[in-house]
Amino acid sequence: MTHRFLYPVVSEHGWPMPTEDELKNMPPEQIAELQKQNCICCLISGKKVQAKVVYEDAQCVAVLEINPANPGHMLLFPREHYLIMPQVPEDVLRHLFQVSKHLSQAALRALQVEGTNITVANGAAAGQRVPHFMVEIIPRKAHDGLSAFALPQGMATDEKLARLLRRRIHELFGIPDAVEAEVVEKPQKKPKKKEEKESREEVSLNDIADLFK
Amino acid sequence: MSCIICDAIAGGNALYDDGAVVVLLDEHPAAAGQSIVTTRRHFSIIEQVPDALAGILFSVANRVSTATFEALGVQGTNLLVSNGIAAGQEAAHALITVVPRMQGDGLLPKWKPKQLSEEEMSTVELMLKEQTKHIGAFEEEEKEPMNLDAPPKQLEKEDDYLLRQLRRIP
Repeated sequence: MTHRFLYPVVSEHGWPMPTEDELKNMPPEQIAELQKQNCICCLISGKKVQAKVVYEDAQCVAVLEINPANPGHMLLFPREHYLIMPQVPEDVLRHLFQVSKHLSQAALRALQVEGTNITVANGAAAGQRVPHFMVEIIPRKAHDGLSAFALPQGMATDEKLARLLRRRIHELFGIPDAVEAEVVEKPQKKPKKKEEKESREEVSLNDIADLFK
Repeated sequence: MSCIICDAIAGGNALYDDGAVVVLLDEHPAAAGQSIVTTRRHFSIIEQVPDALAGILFSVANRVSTATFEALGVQGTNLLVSNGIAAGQEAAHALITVVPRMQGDGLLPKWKPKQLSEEEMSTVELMLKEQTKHIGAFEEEEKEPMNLDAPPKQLEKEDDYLLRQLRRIP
């Protein structure tokens, strides 16, 4: 449901658009379907909109960007509609990156450039422009005047953030956390919270049980 | 030749390490909590990384990006691969940078589009298509190198029809 607020559903291609009231009453599946209909990437993948396709297979399509940062700027996206990267299944992601590696190679060979940038933007704050997950491949030459992909280095490293990040990564990969012992502050707080939650649930269950009496 | 990244991996203190892929905290970040996802083996550019490993590298980067979202409470993440000095690669070791992003932090600004004529676009398209024809068959896993020292397989002489037909009297 949040998608609707992140990316307004706008028809640029003459589809009949539902009114706001209709949108409010629509089930989320139908909204997702509507977004798909209006997603430029899905339209290109379904051959409903013409684009300069440089590569396609069963899972993904690569097209040339209309407003390129450099000649040969490519956008690689999955045929399935995914908003952001965490939604994409792992096997598709792997395939996408393998293809983008080869596309970068193709750019190096075909356009005689000296390097490439491969970038992904997740979320509007990161500069994502289209509500469809994509990988961008940008051919680079020395002194091409493209400063947009240079990262400054001014920030200091933060140990506390690193610890938070490490713990979350380990959780995601299901690694029993050996580092946990080093961390003094947080783990003591966490178990307490869990207990609170459990006790709260118990109370609420009892309440519900009481209602039947 | 010593490599900064290899040294950093050897120094331990990784955020994640599964033997092949290593996640490190960026020593000189653009945003606090920036991390790099890299391979334990030394590859200079991403093109040298084998297909299977490159895929794993990306899926690990995906999880690191998810972790960055959740642990640091940022509004977005960028994955950035720089290939070659012209593209801004600093260390001679293939890596993916995961940049935490907040609205209006001014990192990785929008580029100025270069307007190409229709003709130029078509030329680029054709040149790229020529090279992308071959994409498709990916190495599933790293193959073991062929052992040239191993003794060749002995063919059973009597059963081999190729040899038998040589001895046949017309």
